[in-house]
Amino acid sequence: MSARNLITDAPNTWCEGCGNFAILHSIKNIVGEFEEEGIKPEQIVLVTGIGCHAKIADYLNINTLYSLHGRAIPYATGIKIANPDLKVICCVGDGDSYAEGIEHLLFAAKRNLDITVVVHDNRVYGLTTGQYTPTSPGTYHGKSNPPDGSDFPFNPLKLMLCSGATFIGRGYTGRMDHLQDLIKKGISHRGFSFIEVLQICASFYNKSQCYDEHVYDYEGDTGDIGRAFSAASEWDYNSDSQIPLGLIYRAEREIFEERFSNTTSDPEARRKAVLEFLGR
Amino acid sequence: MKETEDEIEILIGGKAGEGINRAGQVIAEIMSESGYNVFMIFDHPSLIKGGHNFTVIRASKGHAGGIKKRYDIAIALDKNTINLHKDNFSRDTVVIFNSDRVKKVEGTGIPASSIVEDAGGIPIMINSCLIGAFCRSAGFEWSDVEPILRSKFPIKSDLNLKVAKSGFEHSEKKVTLDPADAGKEKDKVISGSEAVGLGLAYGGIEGYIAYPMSPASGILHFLSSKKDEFNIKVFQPEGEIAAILMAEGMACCGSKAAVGTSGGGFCLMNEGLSFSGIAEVPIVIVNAQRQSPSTGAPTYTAQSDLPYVISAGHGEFPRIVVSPGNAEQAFVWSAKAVGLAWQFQVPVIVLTDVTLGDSLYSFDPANVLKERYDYTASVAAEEGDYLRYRYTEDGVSPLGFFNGDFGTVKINGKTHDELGISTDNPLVLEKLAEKRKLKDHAIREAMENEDCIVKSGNEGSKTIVVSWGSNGPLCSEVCGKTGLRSVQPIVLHPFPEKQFEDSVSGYERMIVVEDNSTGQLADIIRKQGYSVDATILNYTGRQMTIETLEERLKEVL
Ligand code: SF4
Repeated sequence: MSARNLITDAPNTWCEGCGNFAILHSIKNIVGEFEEEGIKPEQIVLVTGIGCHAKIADYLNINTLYSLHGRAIPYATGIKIANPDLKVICCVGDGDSYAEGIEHLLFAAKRNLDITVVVHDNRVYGLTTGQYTPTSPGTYHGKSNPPDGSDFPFNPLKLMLCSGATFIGRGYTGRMDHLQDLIKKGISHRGFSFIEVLQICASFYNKSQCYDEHVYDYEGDTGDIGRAFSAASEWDYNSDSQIPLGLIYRAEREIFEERFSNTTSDPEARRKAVLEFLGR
Repeated sequence: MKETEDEIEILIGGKAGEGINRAGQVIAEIMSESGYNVFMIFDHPSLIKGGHNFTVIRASKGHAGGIKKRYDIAIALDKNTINLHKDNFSRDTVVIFNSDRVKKVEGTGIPASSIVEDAGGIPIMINSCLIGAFCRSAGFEWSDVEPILRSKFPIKSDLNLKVAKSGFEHSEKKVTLDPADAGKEKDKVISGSEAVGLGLAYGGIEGYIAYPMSPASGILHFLSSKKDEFNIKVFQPEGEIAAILMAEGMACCGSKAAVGTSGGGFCLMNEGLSFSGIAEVPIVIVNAQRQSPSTGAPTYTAQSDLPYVISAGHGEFPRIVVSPGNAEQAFVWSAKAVGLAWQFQVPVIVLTDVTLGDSLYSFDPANVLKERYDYTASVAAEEGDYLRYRYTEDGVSPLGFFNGDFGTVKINGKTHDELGISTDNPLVLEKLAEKRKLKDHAIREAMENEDCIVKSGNEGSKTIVVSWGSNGPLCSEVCGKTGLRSVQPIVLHPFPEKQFEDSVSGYERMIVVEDNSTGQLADIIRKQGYSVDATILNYTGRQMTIETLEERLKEVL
């Protein structure tokens, strides 16, 4: 176990039974394991958006950037531009990163930014009390949409496959060991890792029974993008069907931050270069 | 015209895509190399091909704070140039034109198209041919201009030079320019955008992240072309929201970063601006103003974002707003902006405009290098329990970064305690708001040590002309000629109260000159308790000429 307490003194305000706990403990355990392997917690930065998920920044005693709704990924991009050696984990929500922040998610995948995005997908806005999100099923009725339902949900795995992510997996908060293993693999992957976590919201959308009945361990060829599309298409987030869990796709591709790796930060050299430009 | 001239005004015009800007630049370089101070505007609609483009170059032994209405030499690549500008010609205007394309015009016709064709050149060399003709008309000897042309021409070939020489030989001497000061160290000729980029680099930025938007794109293009020499990470992301947040992400790692945009992009950046306010992340934002709300007129100028940038973002937080007026001021204040942002961990906004960004200026490095740039950010000791938001007397907490040296670093855009953990506790909320007020106070005190105001003209005059941004040099020149006092505050927020009071002491009449329709600076000055007797407001999207400003001053004096 970790030599230091990886949980802060901040009082935890998540509802009892919330899926966020499984993600918090998974990440805490992973940081502890990394420490034993020689990667100090200081080399890791956690960036969050806004929503119930984001409170994880207050609870974990590691470097954190508690950012804005939907905006964890651009902050993470800046961190990687400045310091490509840091390990950056983005904990984001489905409302957060699939709605207001969707552009950043797609572009980070396109660029193959070497970060790990963990989406706490409870398919509902928890902190703002139960409105529908981009992955709520068409039948979902929340406070902000009429009883005749919401829009058709989109499929984040397929979006990520189209956008160029090089590590795509799905976990479930009801299977913490499996989830922890998947997130750790994602962090260790060199490139953009996307981990969709089916998370239960105990207060507004508790799908435990449905998920428990439908999830299964996916074991297809993770290097075959055609197979990955079929796996991602098995469940459309709208109707009942089997839900594959685990790694769906993995590829190798040049990472984004490499293009900045040849710069140094010597301010004197920079001033000298400016003076040279000015003929001085 | 007089026997010898100590200033000259040159127009060059043609269609978009004909290289008018580069041709103007070469002429500006020739005049600068000859010891003149130059100012060149580039007027172009938001079109890539077609439409009328022109530049006006003012070269003067003294001030070149603005352009004049009357052209001494006009170079026309097409007939439109003559039709559109003939009201600005006098009897003495020397008109040089491509006689293969422009018919029935009096002046110096040069068969430029044929010359280029006979020489086996390419169409863009028509510019070189007419520049050659200009050189003789302006009284230069070929032996003097040849080396300048050789080094300044975009196409550095013997053929291009041959075409220029042909143009030279086809024309005749019309103007005798006063010879240059011997021994004067050569100025650079750079655009305001380049000056901003150079200043940011000199001030220590490690990253420049921007989404293309006129008139700020010049900075992005310049820094992108120089990123290896200057060791700057330059990146174009998916939009302005991402740009500012990425730059702030860099700052959280200790990398100084800046962004640049125009009003519409600045709107999108407001979220990141407020984040900088609460999370205390240093950031420099260049807002290059364009005319009108929304998309407006992308390539035309205005000074109409002042109250907006002062109050943009929600909640209350300290910031600094500066507005330089020419290339030298742009260099100095962009560099200082970086230092100030990091010293106080606040957003610093550099407010420019189309006139400043796109114009070329004589730039004397000696004038900018004597300024003070030694700002020190308070960085935390690399041991002990680090508190990102430690309460201090001046509200500025020692900085620690995500690099492993400071233990756990928690940066938070929600209300937070000293460690950076979210809280809504009323006592902490109060403390956090007070922290921002203390910092605001510290900034106000520190700015008293800066030269926030440029004073010029007749210091004894009881009539004061106050202007800001790119109108500063224009007003300074006109005040110098007409015996008035010119006051240009460069720091606009926090308003330099004491320095302003000193600079207007004993005034009887105050006239405020601005490129907007409501008198934005005038309002700020009135709120400081001063009476403003008249405003001269210009909102044509073009900066006023020297003559226009003189006329409008006469109306209100
Ligand atoms: S509202 Fe839902 S997601 Fe939020 S803490 Fe409660 S159970 Fe968890």
